[in-house]
Amino acid sequence: MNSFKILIVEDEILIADNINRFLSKKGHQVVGVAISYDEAIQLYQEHQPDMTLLDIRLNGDKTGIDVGEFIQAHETPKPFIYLTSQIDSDSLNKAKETFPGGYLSKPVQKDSLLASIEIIMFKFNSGKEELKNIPLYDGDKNHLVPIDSILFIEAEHIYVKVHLNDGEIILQRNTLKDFIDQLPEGQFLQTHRSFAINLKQISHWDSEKIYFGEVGVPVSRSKRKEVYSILKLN
Amino acid sequence: MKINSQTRILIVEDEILIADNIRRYLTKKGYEVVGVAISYEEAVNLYLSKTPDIALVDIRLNGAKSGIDFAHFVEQQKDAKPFIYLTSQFDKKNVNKAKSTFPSAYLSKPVHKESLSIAIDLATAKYGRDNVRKLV
Repeated sequence: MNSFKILIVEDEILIADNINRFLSKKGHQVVGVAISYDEAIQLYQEHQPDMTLLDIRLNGDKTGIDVGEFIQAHETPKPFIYLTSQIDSDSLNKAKETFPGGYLSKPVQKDSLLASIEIIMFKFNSGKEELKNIPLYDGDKNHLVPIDSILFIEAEHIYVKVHLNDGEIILQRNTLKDFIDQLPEGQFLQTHRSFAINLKQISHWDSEKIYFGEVGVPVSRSKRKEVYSILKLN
Repeated sequence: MKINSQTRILIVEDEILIADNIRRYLTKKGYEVVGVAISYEEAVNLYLSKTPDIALVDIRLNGAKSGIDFAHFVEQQKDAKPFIYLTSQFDKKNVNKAKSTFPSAYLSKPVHKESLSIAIDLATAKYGRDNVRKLV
């Protein structure tokens, strides 16, 4: 299991302490325990935790949902989990608007907490929940293109041709390697000196080529073994 | 109180009593349970024929294939719908396998019912948000 920096926001000291000890024993680093909104913000800014556990009811006027809103207002919000024993529908609706990584009821089931932290951090670090558009300049205008809509990328001289799922091809002055480096890791795979493909868009493949609808992208001899083993895993 | 009465749910669970219990609870809450599958094959069939908004997935199923296999199947579909694991498997191996399928949540059994309905609402709200973003 990975080790993460975790902030606990919980006004019941015994519960906070219990969770703190459990997570520390499991190898996580608990950077602080806050019992109020103000303490939570202060500890959050000081320690920049990877993950925050938020009780909804806190000491003082403000709630854990306010802390959730505070975290959510960051440019790339870190994930947080609500831990709570009961929730009315107003609070639930407010909580929903903050897009928490998870919601667990108290008393917290420890295995479930640990598994949830692991799963939510994995998702966060994969960048799967990030906004997934890339600006492409075609020499005339800028297009904001969803990364998922790219089928494959083809290098040609000093350009790359970006093939999209609506049939459009946008020409970029770039190298294939530099272009792929801007894209989310793991989603694109270079199959050939001049080609890289979007794993999410493949329709089928044979021993020579990978197809996007009718269009086949070649797999070079040297990359064949690696490419097909990754396709099988997908 | 009826929340999201339009949310259509597939339950993938090989313990009939548990599945039935969850089904009754969710129906009472105003959700629509579109089917209960006890195996991978049944789950795939129901997913394709009923197009649920979300699936609740036990890891251990009847037969050779697991709930994680079903999750991989869902992930590969165009417009893949969210799913939540309901499980008593918390060992490293299962958690690691499960996380690579990007579940919306990982809840322990016996299922705490209110948490379940909240997890469903959160997952479908998030799915809605991500889809709006795709259109932008």
